[in-house]
Amino acid sequence: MPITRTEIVERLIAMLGPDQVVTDADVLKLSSVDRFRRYEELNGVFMLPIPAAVVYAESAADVSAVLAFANDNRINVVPRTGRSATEGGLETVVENSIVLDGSRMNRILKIDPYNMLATAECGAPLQAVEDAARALGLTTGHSPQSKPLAQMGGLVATRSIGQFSTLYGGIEDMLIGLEAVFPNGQICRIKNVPRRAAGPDIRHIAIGNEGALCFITEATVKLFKFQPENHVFLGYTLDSMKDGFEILRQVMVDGYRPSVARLYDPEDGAYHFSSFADGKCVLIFVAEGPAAITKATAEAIEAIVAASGVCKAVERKVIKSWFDNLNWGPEKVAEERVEIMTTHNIGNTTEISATWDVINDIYERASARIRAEIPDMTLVGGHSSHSYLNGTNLYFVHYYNLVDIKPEEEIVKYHHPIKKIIVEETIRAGGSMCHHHGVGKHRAPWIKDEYGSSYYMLETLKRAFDPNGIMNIGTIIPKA
Amino acid sequence: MDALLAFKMVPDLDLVTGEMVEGESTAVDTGYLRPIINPDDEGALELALQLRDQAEAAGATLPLSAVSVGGPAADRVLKTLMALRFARAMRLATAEDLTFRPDMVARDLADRVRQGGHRLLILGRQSSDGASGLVPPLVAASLGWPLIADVIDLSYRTDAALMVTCRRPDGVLRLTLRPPAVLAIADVAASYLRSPTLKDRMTHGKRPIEVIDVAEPVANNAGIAPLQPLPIGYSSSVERRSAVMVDGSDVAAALSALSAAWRGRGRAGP
Repeated sequence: MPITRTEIVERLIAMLGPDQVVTDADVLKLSSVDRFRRYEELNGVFMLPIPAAVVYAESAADVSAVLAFANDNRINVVPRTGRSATEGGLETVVENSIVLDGSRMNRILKIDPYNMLATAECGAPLQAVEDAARALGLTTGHSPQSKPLAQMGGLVATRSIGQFSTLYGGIEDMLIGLEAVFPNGQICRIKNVPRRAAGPDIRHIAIGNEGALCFITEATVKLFKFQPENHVFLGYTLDSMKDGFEILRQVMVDGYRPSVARLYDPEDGAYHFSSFADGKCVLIFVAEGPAAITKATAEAIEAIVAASGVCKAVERKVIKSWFDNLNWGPEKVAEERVEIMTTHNIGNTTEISATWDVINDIYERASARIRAEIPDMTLVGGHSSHSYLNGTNLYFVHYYNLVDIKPEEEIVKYHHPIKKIIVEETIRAGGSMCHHHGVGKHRAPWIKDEYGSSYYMLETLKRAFDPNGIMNIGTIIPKA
Repeated sequence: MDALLAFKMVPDLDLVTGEMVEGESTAVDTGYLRPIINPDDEGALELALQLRDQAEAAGATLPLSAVSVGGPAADRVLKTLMALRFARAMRLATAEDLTFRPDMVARDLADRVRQGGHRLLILGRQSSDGASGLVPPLVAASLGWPLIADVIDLSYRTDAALMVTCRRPDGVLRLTLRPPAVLAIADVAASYLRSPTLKDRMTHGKRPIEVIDVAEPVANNAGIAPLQPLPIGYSSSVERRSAVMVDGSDVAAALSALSAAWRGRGRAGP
C-alpha cells in the first residue's frame, strides 16, 4: 500500500527536522512548475499535482537519506538547485512528489589556482563561483545567460553551455570531477584528474541526467586565466543567414577559436541590435585569451569576413555594450513578468544543433512553418550562438500574442505546436532536438526519435540506476 | 476626433555600466546604447491604442497618427505603429540634434497638428534625455489649446468626449474632456507598447512611413532661456543590505533584539 502524503511529510521531518521540510501551500504550488509554465504561474493557475513537500538538503548524507526513503516507498523525487529550468524538468507530474532542493548546499569548497580547479557544492551560484575565481584573476569560462540565477548542480545536470563556449566549451568540457547520489542512497565520487582512460567516462552518467538518474551534490570545474584587457569585440551586418553560417564554418574549419561566434537573423537581430541592425543579419565575435592569440584570432576573423565580401563592420563598442547587459538576473525576470501581464505577449526559445550542411535548411523550414501554421505570432527569429568544427546550434526565438485563451491553454495553442515544428524539422534533417536547455518533460515525447537505435543505451542506464523509476518521472524518458 | 501621437527615441540608460565611463570622466557616451521609445511616450502610445479599442468596441472610429522628430532610429517603431493600424507614421528629419531645443520641437509638432487637422495631441510628459518637460506646454501654447498634464488613463465616452484621469498631488482628478487638447502622459500603468502579429505586419505594416524634412532651427522663439545640456554622469550606488540574526527560541527576547536592531538601523550592519 503506497505511503500517504501525510506519512511522507512526517517521515521527512523525522529524518531531517522541520527546518528542512517545507509544506507551505504557496511554496508547494510554485514548486510544481518551472519557467516553461510561467504564464500559468503568473496567473495563479497550477494544473499539475502539487508536491507533498520541498526538502532542503544540507549535505550529501541528507540527499542520500531522502533518496533511499523515496526509493523504498516508490515516491517521485524532483531534484533542483537554481530553478532556472525552461523545459519542464522541474514539473511534478505525479501525486505526492518530493522536490529535493540543493540550494542550501552552497559552499565554495576550494579555489585551486595552481591546478586551476574550482570545487563547489551543488547549490553554489555560478555567479559566486565566478566572482571567487575573478578575485584571483581567473574565470570558469562558463557564462550562460542564467549565470545570476543558476547553481552548479543544475548546470551540470542540464548539460548547460555558456556564451563563451566556442573557446571554453560546454559544462561537459569543463567538469573535472563530481559527487552524486543515486536512488538507493549510494554516494559516488569521481575524482579530479586531467584525463582518464580507465574505461568509459562515467562523468557522463551524471552530466545531463536532468535528475532522472542521480542528484549531483558537488562539482569541480576548470579555471582559466581571465584577461579582459585583451578582449577584442567584432561586429558586422550582412544580408543572409546562409552567408553567415558559411563565415562561421570558415572560422571554425580554419582552426580559430573565438570565445563568441554568434549569428542573428534579421528578426532576432532587430530585437537585440536595434541601434544598427536595420533589417540585416548580425554577426558578432569576441576573441579572448593571451594577447598574441587574441590578436591573431581577431585578425584572422577580420580577414575571413573581408574575403566573404558580404559584411559591413559595426562599431565595436556597440557589441561590448550589448554583452555587458546580456545576462538574466532576478530584476529581468521581474520585469518580464510585468511585461507579459500588461502586453499579453510572451516569448520562448527552442535550441537545437546540426551539422553545417543542414543547419540553414532547418532554420528556413522551421521558421517558415511556424509563420504559416501558428496563429498570433509577433516574432519568429533565431540565432546561432555556439559553433563547433562540425556544425553549430540554432536558438529559435518565438514571441506570440495570447489571444482568446485561458492561461492553461497557452501551452496547447502556442508553445507545444511551435516546439513540435522545430523538433520535427531538426530530427528529420539529422540534427539534435536539444542543444543546451535539456529535454525536460516537453521534448521527452520525441526522445526515441532523437536517440534512434542508441535509445537502448539510455533506457538501460535508467533501468540500472533507477530501477524503481523514482527519479524525476517524465523527464528525458516520457511518463509511462 | 482623431489623435496625433508624438514620441521620441532615447538611449536606454538602464544599460549604462561602470565600464562605459571614459577615463577619469563621469561622462558616458550614450551613442553606443540601444535606442528605445521614451518611457512616457511608450505609455502614451499604448494608452491611445486602448482608447481606440474602446472606441471601436462602441462602434466608432478613432484614427491615430504618429510623429517622431529626429533620426532613423524611430523608423522601426513607426513601422510597428503602421502594423498596429495607425493611419500615418511620420518622421520629421532635422539636420541638427534638437534634444535641447524644446521650442523647435514644439514648433514642428504644432505645424503637424495644424496640417493634419488633428484634435488631440498625445505625448509623454518629458523625455529621459532632454528632460526639460517643456515640449507639452510650449506646443499647447503654440496651438492655443488646453494642456492636461500628468495623465495616467484615458477612457472613450462619445465621439466628442473622453474621460481623462490625471494624477494630482492630493489625489486623482477625473474630468470629461471635449477636444481639442494636448495630453501629457506620465507614469501610466500600461507602460509597454503592444506587439503587432506577423500577419498585422504583412497586412498593415508594409505601408510606407513618411520622412519629412523640416525647416532649419531658428533663433529661440519661445521666450525661454537657452537650454544647456548637462553631462550625463555615472555613479555607482549599490544598495547593500545587512542582516542581524535573531534567535527565535524565546519570543520576548527575539522581539527585544529586533527592536534594538530596528532602533539602530542606519548604522553600518555586520
